[in-house]
Amino acid sequence: MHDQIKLSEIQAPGGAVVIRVEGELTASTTPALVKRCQSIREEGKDLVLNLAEVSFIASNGVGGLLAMVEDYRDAGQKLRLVSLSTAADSVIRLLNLDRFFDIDASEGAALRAMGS
Amino acid sequence: MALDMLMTTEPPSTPQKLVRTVISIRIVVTSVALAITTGAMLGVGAVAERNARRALTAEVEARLLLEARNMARSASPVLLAEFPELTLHPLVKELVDEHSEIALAVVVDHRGQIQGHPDARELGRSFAPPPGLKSLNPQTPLHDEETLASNDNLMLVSVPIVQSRGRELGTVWIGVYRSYVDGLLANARQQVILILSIALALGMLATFAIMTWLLRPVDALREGLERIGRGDLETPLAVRDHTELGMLAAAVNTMAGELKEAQTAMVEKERLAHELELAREIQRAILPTQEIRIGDYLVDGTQEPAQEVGGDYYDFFPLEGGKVGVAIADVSGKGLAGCVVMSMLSALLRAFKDTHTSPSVLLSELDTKLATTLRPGTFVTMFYGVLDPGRSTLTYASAAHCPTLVYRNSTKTIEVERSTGIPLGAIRGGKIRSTLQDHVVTIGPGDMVLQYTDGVNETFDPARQHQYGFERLQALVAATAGQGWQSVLHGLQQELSSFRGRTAREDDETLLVIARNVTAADAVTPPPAEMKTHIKLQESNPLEMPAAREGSLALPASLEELSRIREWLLSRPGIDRLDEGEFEVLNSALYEACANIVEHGYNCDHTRSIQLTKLPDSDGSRDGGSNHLEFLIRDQGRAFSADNWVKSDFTSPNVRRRGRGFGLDIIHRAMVHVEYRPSTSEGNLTLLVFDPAKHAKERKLRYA
Repeated sequence: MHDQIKLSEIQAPGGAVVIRVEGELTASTTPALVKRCQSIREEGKDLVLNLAEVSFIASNGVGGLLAMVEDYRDAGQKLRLVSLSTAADSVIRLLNLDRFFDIDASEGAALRAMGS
Repeated sequence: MALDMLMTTEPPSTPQKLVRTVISIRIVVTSVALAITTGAMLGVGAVAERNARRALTAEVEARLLLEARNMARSASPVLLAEFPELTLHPLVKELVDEHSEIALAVVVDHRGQIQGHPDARELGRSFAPPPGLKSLNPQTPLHDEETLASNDNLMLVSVPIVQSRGRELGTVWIGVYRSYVDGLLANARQQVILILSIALALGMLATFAIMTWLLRPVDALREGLERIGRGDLETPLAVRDHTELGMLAAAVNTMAGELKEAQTAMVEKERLAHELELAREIQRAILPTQEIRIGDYLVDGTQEPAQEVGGDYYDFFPLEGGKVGVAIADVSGKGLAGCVVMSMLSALLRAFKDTHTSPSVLLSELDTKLATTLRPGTFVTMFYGVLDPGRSTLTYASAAHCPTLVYRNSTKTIEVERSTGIPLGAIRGGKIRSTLQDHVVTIGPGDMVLQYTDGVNETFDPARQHQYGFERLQALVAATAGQGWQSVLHGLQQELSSFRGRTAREDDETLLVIARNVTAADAVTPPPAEMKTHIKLQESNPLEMPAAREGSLALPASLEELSRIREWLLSRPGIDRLDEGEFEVLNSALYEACANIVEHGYNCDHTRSIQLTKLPDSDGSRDGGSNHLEFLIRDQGRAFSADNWVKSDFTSPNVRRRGRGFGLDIIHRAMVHVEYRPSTSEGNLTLLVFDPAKHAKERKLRYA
């Protein structure tokens, strides 16, 4: 099985959560990420997703991210993407979706943006 | 008198009114009557005189004979006696003295000697009759030996004196001056002439007087006509006359009355034409003055008006959310009534455009609002649509309006969308709502949606035998839409104009268009011809098993297996030209295409197989800069239909929340050409053509 995903979670100072995603975001792996992110949202926290190690992102993966952004927005919480890998960046830009995400170059930048 | 005025002033603008000598009818008639009567009288007179002369001559003749015979009877015994001259001379002298007209009275005996003569000295001489005597035709019968003769001066008779036993004793000659007869005649003639002249004079006077009396209305007539000529049609001619002049006056009055009516009617007509012209101006002012360009879209309209102001209308305007409302309508019936309804419709539409987002609801609303104003039997066909550039859709409803033409750039053909609704105002009570429906049309790059009014397809040829028709319209749009809206417009105008010939437009010709440009991002360059032959080659080799093809990837129909694509792709020739980003895009698109087949074609049945092949590169020198990479996917699963696919509109939160179904978006965005060939002899074929140049400029920031 090649579809695997690894999520590493870090609590940032200020209450936000950083999840580093490693692997492929496909139809089978995306639900795990989404589930985790929803939990964090329900805890009322802000989220930073680090996609530097995302080797592939399928349409479901993109879709999952998009939906989550909406949920976080509705909840009034912040969700930011950082360090997009080439794969993630290419697909997101292909669909002109970068306008819907808050994208930062690094986790630090994202946390600063949130904190302010 | 007006005539005098004319004769003196001579207005330069009317040179026909020359100074002309006017000869009165009266004089003419009188003169003619005089001439004729005089001629007649002269003729009669001449004849009468001839008769008179004859009668008079006869009378004189008779008298002469009488006198001569009396004298002969008297002289007969005397001539037998001695010295007859003693008795005869006084007799003759007495005769001559009593009748001065007698020029000659002679009794001559048988020896030719004068026995009786007024002049005593002649007695005894030989009698010689006057010279130059010619005998005349007697009117009174002459007895034997009697003669009647005349010369220049005299007319005389000779009567023999006969003894009782018949022995001729002598002759009596009696003659009168011819001038006596002439004198008598002259007298008579003079009398006649006098009487006749008096009668003639009286007659002429009477004629003149009667004519004057009869013609007195003429002046009134003339004056009346001059008045009419000046424009006064009010005052009738007051001529009460029972002759032809009266009839003439009555006719002139009638004419004046009719002129007046015609004049009033013409003034009215001009006023009406002016108002219609105003109405037309107002109507034109309602129409949009400028096209709308939004994103890739162009919304525009045009109208060629008919002679008479009509009931066609079109409009387009921005709506909330970056959308555009488009409307086109046609009122049954023309003229001012149609114009007024259109103005109201325009106002209502503008008022309610933001209230109702659903076109069918909006049209129903318009129907309700218009119901009170539309006269029974008047109705309005209308098309109303909302263009959503973000979703590339047109949502529309049509109340019995003409079919909508949709030109599809991908196939170069026309789709026809027909209306199901009834017109506005056709049935009262809101029944229209159930007949209306919102329809959605997706507009692809290069596509064109065209609406129009029936003035276009119902244009007649000059013989009024044929209409331009719906088919011709479709054909024209299909032929010209590829070159853009202006080409369609000009092409249509030209065709209609030549079809119509020299006849005038009967109805407004209105057109409404929504056109979508082909942008660089959507640019779909058709595959070079070689690609199509690849497919053909494939199709002609049904026995070749997928796995046997060198370089193809055989994938089990399982999502997990799809990650093998990346490895396979990396090993393909020509892939090393791509940079990372381009590679990722290509990989994603191929993944999604196969994922579709796995899910929809095979229902994730991992025992089935998908074949993925990279086709040999086409000759780059052929079609200029062709770095195209072509891929063919082959499967035996359920065929995929791309017909219902609508590009995802990510601007809509609902779409984003959906979280899935973006696979086709990735494929179509990544590829320059996507072609489905379902159910061929080789199975379902999907051709994908990738042009890295399309994505080169998409390179933006790269994150470490």
